[in-house]
Amino acid sequence: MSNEELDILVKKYLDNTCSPQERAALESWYNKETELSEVHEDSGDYRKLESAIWKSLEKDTLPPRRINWPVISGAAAAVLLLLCSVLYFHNPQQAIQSVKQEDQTASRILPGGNKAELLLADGSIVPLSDAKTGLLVKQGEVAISKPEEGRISYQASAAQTEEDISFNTLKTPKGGQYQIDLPDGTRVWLNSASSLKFPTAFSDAERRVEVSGEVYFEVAVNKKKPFKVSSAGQTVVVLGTHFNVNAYPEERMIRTSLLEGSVKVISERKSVTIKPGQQTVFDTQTQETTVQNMDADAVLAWQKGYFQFNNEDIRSIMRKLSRWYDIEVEYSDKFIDQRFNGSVSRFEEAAKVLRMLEYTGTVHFKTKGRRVTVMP
Amino acid sequence: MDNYKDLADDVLLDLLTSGDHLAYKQIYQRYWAVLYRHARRMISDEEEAKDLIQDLFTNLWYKADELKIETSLSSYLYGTVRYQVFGLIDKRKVRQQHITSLQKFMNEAEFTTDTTVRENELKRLIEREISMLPAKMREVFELSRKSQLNHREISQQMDISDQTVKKQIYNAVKILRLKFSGIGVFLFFFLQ
Repeated sequence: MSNEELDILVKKYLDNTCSPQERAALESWYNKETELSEVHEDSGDYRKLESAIWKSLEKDTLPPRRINWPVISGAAAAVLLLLCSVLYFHNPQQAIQSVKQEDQTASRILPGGNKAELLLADGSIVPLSDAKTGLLVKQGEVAISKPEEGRISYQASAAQTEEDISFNTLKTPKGGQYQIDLPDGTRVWLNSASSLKFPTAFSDAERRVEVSGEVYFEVAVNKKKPFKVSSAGQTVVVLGTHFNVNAYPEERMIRTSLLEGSVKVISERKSVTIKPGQQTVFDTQTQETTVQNMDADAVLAWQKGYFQFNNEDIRSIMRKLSRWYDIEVEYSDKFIDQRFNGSVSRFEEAAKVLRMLEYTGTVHFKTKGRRVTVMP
Repeated sequence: MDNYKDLADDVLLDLLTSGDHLAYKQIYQRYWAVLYRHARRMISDEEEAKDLIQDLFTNLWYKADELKIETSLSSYLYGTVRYQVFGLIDKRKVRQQHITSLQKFMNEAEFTTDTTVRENELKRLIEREISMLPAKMREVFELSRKSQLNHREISQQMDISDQTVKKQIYNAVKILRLKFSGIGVFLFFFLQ
């Protein structure tokens, strides 16, 4: 069989136009050839290969859905309100109808999105959610730009002296999330109700930031300048690595989870170094630190756009939902706590997430406006 | 997630078609290695083989809701990897010796026209790669073969028809989990 004939045959196989006999021949050859050929081995490092391939797959199959709803709903609410007052003045009958519509909008609890504000050293506040992309602010030699929705980037055009360095704070509200690139190339993601305080340029000896809430770091490697993250009661010292800090004031435990690299977690009583796959759990009441293994998927689910619950009790789940959806949670008297497993995109409406928890048959919710009551 | 490790292929497939990303991940973890090793028999370039596996799984995710698999998840995956290798043959991205061998085969050899025989043969060839994998990777695959939670088991356990199980897969698995684990652990899935 000539090369051309072979080409035609293979192409027919690929677009499914070959005859059953041709198919049988090709597939029989395939089996035979497979059996006779040796495997071309290279590194043989399957663990590494598995995660490398998964990393790209995850990137391609879990696109975070950015919704510009803050702009829409904000404007819509304002218009609705105006309409309300105008109509009432002119025609009381019609006013009732538009009030009903407003109620409907209020009862739909939409998911969070890219919302944050930047607090500069001079006290001024730069709202980031609606800002246009491009250069935002210039503070001396430091340029702050918004390269895309949901992310800001710091660049220093020249070296800073100690006097020039000032502190800025990035803050997300309930229902917000944001990403920032620090002047050294470190990438940081903030979950809802979180904050990151950082200098506009890093000093010579170290890189120091302060956080509260939940923040994920991918620290740029710099062996001469350790990166230090402080949160209530503990400091994490890093050389260059990927880790997540969960330090909400309303949570009893502060968790620092390490994905790559190496970190040392220092509290008043103890200093502990952990390896990837581990997390430190700092009990703010007893001031004790313990080390545990952690599920990286569950820890980083928020940064990838979903909730993941591993045998998690309802109260902890509701606290997470409350921060992302900006809702208030109450528990009925007869309520018994249960544990749940599962995952769901966090870009769905709250009603959908609550409905899914209800499918298990062990919990029910009543929603009024932004208040959710948890019942058995 | 441990829970998904217990689920048989047919259950994972159902969950995948409904958009469950964790089911997708479990399918990847279960099959990527045997498919990769199999591909490396014809594909000498590591990057090329890596791309092939990546494309295979990316397509699996995006085509998930259209999938109508008559046979089984494994047959589908094995057929797909074969298809992709032929794609590389078409682009001449395999070694010349394979091309030559194919030409020779088409001229002379005898072959079976029975599709099932060929598929079973392919399945045997791919699955024997298991024995070559590091222990931990083997586990993921072998465990799934022993798993208790496939459709037939569920319908038998619950005394309902197979069809009903497919429709009620979420509730069925939930109730079974109650029976298997003492603590009452509940699963809920992302329904689209």
